[in-house]
Amino acid sequence: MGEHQSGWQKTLHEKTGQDVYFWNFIFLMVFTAIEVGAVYLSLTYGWTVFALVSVGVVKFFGIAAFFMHLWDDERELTYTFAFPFIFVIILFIGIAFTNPEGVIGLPAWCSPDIIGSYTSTSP
Amino acid sequence: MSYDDHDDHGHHGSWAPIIASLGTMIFLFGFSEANMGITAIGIVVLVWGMFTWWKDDLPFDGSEEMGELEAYGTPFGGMKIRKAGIWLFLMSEVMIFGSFFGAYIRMRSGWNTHWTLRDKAQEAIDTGVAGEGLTDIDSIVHACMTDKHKPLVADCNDATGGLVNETFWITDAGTPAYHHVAAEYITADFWTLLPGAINTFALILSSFTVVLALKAAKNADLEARVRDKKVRNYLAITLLLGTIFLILKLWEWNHLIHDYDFTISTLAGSFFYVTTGAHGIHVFIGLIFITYFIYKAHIGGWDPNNAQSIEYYGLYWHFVDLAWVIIFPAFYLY
Repeated sequence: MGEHQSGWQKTLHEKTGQDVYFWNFIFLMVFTAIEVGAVYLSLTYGWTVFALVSVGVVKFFGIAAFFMHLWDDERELTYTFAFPFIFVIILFIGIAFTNPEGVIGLPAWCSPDIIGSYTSTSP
Repeated sequence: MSYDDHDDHGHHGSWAPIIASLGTMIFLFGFSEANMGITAIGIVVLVWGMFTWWKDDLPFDGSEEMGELEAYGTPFGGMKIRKAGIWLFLMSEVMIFGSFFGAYIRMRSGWNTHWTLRDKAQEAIDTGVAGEGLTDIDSIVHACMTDKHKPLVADCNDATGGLVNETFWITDAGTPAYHHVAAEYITADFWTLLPGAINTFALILSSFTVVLALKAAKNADLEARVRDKKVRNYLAITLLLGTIFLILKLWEWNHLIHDYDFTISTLAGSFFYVTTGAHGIHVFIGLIFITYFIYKAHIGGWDPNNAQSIEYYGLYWHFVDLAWVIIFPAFYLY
């Protein structure tokens, strides 16, 4: 872990006395506080979503890059982790954002009866 | 390294993961068929697999002779096989949670929710069609719903000058157009949001304590007894935080179900409980493993040459944190 520290991480450690994991933890806590606070700022719908997505991206990066060591580990591991996101993005573009019938209008061959029992008629 | 080279090693891995996987498959099959007998057999096989796994792992010293083999060939050549394996496992986890989010986004983008209601209220104010004396969004929303979030269709129609009429709530086909999502209840009441917020902080803190446990286990400068104690304590704090997470989640579910009648019988409830439940199961599985890790720390099973398992476990635990980073804003705040 510590032996993987790159130049700027060593400098950070020397200047502050704390390593990148500690500061990552602090940043994650601060950004979580911002995330929760954003909901109570009475922002518009668009700004709230922007704030939540922005903070989510920063936190995702902090955890994946430093807690999961992807910043310092072999690049192959980053590619491995990134690979399924290609399919997730295709899923989002092909179904989530563009196909209104993508979930509730599935063809019969992929809609076993059990799914019908979970559809609701109450708002 | 070739296949032939492997024959020189004293250890070729364990059958335990395969037994545990088989047990999981039997358990899930029995569970989905509501067959308690098959479910029980699955649990027994699963527990057998886990104990075999840990029995094999206890004397593990992190050496290649004991099974810490390196991968060869593209793309993981030179890496520890178990490390490559955990990342491949996390690939499949991305697909699982990606599917939940894909479906959720699809449904949310077609639903009228509390956000849509607030937008309509703003539109009513901007266009001057809002009811008399209704000058802000909250007062219009208050006119549209009871304190328990039950729609007041006729009153809302008057309060918004007809912008939020009957079709806002129910489609012409009789299916729901408006959906009470969990975030509607959670963000409306600080005390309902509090468990989810505490859980978010708890999970981040638990990620950090796993990092600290790994750092302590790899610290060759520490005396063995002190190192073991540090590792055990950091892992125990992680266990405590994960337990708090699950307790608060169950408390929060109980609150949503009993105080707001937000159950799995609605589409929005189904998405919420299946996704947060799947995440909760991941936390629970993580706690089972960490209990064993604490025991191993207690008997001095970790040292600077044998801390890889904590690192690999940490990858799983950080991924659970990562999934929550998306789930929390998407399901609790949005």
